[in-house]
Amino acid sequence: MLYVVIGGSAGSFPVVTGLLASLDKNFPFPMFLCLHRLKNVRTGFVEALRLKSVLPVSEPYDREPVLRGHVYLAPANYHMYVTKSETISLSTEEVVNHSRPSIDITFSSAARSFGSKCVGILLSGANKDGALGMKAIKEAGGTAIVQSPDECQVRTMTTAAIKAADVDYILTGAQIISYLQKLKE
Amino acid sequence: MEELFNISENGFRKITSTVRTAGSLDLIHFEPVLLCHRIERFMQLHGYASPEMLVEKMVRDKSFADFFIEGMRVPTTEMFRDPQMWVELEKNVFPKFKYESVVKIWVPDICGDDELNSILIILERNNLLQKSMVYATCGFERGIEDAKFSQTDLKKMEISKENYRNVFGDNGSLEDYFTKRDKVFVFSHQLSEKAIFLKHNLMTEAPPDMGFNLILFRNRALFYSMQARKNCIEKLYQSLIGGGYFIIGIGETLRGLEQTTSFVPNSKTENIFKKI
Repeated sequence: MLYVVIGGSAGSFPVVTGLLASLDKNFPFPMFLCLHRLKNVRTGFVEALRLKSVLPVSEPYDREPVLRGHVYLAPANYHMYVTKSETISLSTEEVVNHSRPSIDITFSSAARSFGSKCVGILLSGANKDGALGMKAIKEAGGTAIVQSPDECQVRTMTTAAIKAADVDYILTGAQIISYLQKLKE
Repeated sequence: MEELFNISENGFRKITSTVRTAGSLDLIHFEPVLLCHRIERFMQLHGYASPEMLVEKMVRDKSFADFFIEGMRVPTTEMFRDPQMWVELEKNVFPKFKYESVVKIWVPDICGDDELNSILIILERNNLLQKSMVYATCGFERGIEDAKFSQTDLKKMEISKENYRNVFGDNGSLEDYFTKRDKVFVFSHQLSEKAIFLKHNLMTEAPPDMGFNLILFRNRALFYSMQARKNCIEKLYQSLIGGGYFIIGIGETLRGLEQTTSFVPNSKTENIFKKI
């Protein structure tokens, strides 16, 4: 069993939709998306992702049980934690890196809960959120993947993660898709 | 922030078992994953390098243990959070209060003043404040004092102003309810004095009154364990009148709770429920 956590901000949307469009309905692992978003815009985002995905995509409610092959999008203005008991906890705690949801929080909670079974993927973005989360995933024995900064629309986030953590792979969007497709094998 | 989640499970257990004996509120009621993050944040903010240092300080100083527990609680984020909920409240709930002689409202477990200030303002705007009894309760004396003498910084004011505009359009300004002093905005005393402030432990005490028409309990239960959440909601449910309204956060659910069948959704998207 693996747990895939993906973080992104400015410029990450095309990669996320490309990735969701490329996975087949038998993808066996849960996927957690923590994408920076406007706090008062609650509709449209998850619907846009659903259009591209054959996997079910939803914004979880607090303490929602995690299902295999399901994609969970962190709701606007909430932090999203994943827990050892395979549930999702939401929180209205202070912003982290000017962000709520914060990628650091989702990644770090996944690292703590799932250790080596955690695969973290960090995409394009304009601040340093996710760098400490990537470090936590690596230190917990998980796999840390960063989108190549050269390919990112905004490279701040991925560059910070590469600096903070000894990441396993620096890949293009297409290579990340390929990596995920091969995961189930 | 240097790290997230770097305290061990052993360190976590040491802290929670110490608080059980030294503090006035048992951390057993808190959701462990979120609590772990709160503890770590507290340690960073106050310069404790290890759980042992924190435990030692709490054992020596009981008032510090209470200070620590206060730090575990999460303040509300902003005034008029999730603006559409307030629109629904004004449009679909307040008209039902028109013929009530008294409207009893409870904002339990306040942490910060945002939710209280928001309800006071919207009641005032709808000419309901005069006949309303708004209970604001908190288990900590300091929490009560902070809410009584509410101040908002510029950053939160800007966020809240945007929410306010989303609720009321250009009809008035949030700043009308505040007085600016240096770098802070002080909430209208005329409004805050309409609230009934009480020290009240939601976990252990009976409701401060019964027969509430409306209870605002948004995003407070996120931080409680499932058992504590069930107990709280049962207590809140019992204190509502039949036909009373119960509001939880957008990201919350009543699924899996006994009261689920006794509440009907009044607004599914905004999580406004009605007791049947």
